[in-house]
Amino acid sequence: MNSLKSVPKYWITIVLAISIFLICELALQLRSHLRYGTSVFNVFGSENNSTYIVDDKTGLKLLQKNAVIEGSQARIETNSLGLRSPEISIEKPEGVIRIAVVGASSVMGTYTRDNNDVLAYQLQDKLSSHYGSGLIEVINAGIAGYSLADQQKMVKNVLFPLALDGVIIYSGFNDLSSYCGTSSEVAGEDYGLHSVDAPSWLLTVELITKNTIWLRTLDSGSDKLTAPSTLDTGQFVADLNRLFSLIESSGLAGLVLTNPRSYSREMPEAEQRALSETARYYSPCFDTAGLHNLYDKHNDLIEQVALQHQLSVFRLDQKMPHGKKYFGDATHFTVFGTDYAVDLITKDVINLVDKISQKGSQLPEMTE
Amino acid sequence: MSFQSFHFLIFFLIVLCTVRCLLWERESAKKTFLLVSSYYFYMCWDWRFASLIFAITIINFIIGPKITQANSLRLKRFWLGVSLIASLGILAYFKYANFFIDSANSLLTAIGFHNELPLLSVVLPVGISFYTFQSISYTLDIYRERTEPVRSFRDFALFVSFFPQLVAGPIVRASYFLPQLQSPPKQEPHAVESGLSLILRGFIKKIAIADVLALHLVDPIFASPANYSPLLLFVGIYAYSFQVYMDFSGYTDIARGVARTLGYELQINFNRPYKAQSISEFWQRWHISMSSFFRDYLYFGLGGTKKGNVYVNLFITFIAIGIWHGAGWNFVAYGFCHGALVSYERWKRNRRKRLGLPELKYHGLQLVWQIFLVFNLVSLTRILFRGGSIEDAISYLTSMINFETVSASVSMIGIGALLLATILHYTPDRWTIEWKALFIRMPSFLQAGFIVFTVFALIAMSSGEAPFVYFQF
Repeated sequence: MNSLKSVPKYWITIVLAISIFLICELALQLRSHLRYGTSVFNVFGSENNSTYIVDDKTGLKLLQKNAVIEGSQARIETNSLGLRSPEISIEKPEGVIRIAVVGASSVMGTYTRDNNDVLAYQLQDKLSSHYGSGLIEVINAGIAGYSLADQQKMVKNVLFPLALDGVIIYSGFNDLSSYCGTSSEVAGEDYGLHSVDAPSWLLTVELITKNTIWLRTLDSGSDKLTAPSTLDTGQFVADLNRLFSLIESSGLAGLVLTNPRSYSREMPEAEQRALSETARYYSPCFDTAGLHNLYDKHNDLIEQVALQHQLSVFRLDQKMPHGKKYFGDATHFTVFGTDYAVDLITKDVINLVDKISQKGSQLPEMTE
Repeated sequence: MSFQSFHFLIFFLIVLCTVRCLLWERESAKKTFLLVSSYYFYMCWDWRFASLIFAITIINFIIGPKITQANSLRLKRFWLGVSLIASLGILAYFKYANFFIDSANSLLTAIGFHNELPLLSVVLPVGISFYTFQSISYTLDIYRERTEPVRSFRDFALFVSFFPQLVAGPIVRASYFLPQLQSPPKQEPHAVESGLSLILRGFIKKIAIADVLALHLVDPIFASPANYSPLLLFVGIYAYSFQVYMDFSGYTDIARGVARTLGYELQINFNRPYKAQSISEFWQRWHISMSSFFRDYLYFGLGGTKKGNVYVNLFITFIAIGIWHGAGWNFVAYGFCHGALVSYERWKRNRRKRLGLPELKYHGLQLVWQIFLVFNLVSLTRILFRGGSIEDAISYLTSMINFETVSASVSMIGIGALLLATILHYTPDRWTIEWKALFIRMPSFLQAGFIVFTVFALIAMSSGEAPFVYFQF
């Protein structure tokens, strides 16, 4: 006790402040671990249990292979390829048509409780009831955070060896967040010494920033906003071209879905703002009007480039209803929204399967 | 490495722990460590310009003793001239070369020459105006026999590069800071707590007020003034006045707080500037370290009230203040306006004196009106400061007298921040002192809780790492 009294008060204050911060962080990590089975604790387990790994061969971020990442609110089961998908044999069984759904968090099902709720599984169910079970395999090839370039690598390095017949691309809009980088990031001119950034796993910072977006939202008219019409979409188009030409040149049948969003122009501004919060978190240099233009512009580009590469397009953004019932945030579906989206696209996916069958492989028997 | 970055937090904690725990009793090692830390801090901005600070440091360190040793006034002047030309030459090259070339091109075009001089490809080193002025204060103080040349190169290099005030001041005079390095001042008993309270106050000013004002009022209004009603355009300039004040005084608070925790004192830079009853008084309260620098070294150097024409001296000084802020005709106009206002006030004062009338004193409502009037004048001239060019400023002013119906509105968050800024600025001075005393008296767990709560609130309000406004100068 006496030794503590000799410590200057400011040291006790500083140590206490750091301790409070660490306790808050620890509590949040624990909460995340209990709910979703993912936290910084995964790294400190007996073996490396982190949710994601970087594959040595491909350099791709994948899910931990053959793992069950489980919490009270989510259960992710992965296969030996590091995908949230059932185990797939490298050799395709005779008479089976294999389709992969490629994309990012919406495809992976970041916010879905169970593997059975994700888009690929729902689609598998629909196709099984249409063609009979065991004839169609739908692979969930979505990994949260994937850009178009990552999706291209996924198709080339992970999916091609599986003797795919068709691909459904639901790309998501992770590429758009790069439009709001700092000027030095954009220009690539940084002569400062290496900067130490806050670790990305700090949940305290993420929780606070994600829940207070309204405080930092740029008002319409701000000179810090970016006008979508002024954007250079060259990189986005080039990435689309690379991905789609890979599919086209491999002779795979392809269906491209555009990206829907939860908020619409017809909604009151306050509702649009509330629903678009996560979009503004990742793309803070756009207001809601800007986001509408941005998303529409990029969906149009996806359609144009896909058609140039002879791929079918389904304008999911124009068919999907808006609102909280269908979306958990700005772009991710609720379970109900996933069901609804699957219902919308099933007809086009069946057309895709029929096209694959007509191309030379086998036409599955219809089971009505 | 901006003050509001995670990098700075880690850097500051390491420096504080090292200085307080390991080097507190070892003055020489402490200064060496702080010098290395300061260069590291600056190199995190841009490593290329560390050589620039080093060059300015070496030039002035060598010239300092030569001024003292010179046996004639002429020789003293010569060495002072070398110091000023070399230091200000570097500043002029990096900050003003393109402004001069651009102006020369405009002039040549106007008189019929169409061969344009090419612009230079130079990047403005962050904080160059601050550390250049700080270094020349050394040779100027030696010339005026206010300080002795320093023997230790390390001490002088630390004075020029001391990281808390390196990139945006306050401009610390050699005669104020070098004695602290030679024999460290006795610190008040709760210097660290007092420093921490200053740092917290600075962050609150910057992130909770200045950045919020910028995001919700200033940026949208200045981006398209034609969309706003005259009333909201006034709100825009008031908001900008408070944004600049909260931003810059916030930076100064953080700089002073950091320096205090490390055992050094920096000068006060602001004294409630919007309480000024005249423009002259405003300049005694606003960016005091800069305005007093220009007053002592330029205005008095020109003769002040004693030699030459006082009005010409005032105009030269204020135009120089304007140009110090930036290379552009809008800054020249900003300086000119203030020079004109201060000259008018002086003329009025002299006239009253000549007529045998007493000096004007304001009371009650008259005082409130006078303060409001001065605040409005200062805010109006700030349009030149914010607009970017004279054309932008004219466009803003034109919109202020355009009474056509316009639809744009402003956010209530911005209005709330403006009200908060106004209330904080006009609270009695003793409240600030009481707040500091209260923070020092708090038990450790409350202090820690307050720090964490403030950090969380600041994370919520921080719109990225918005740079401090004065970094561009």
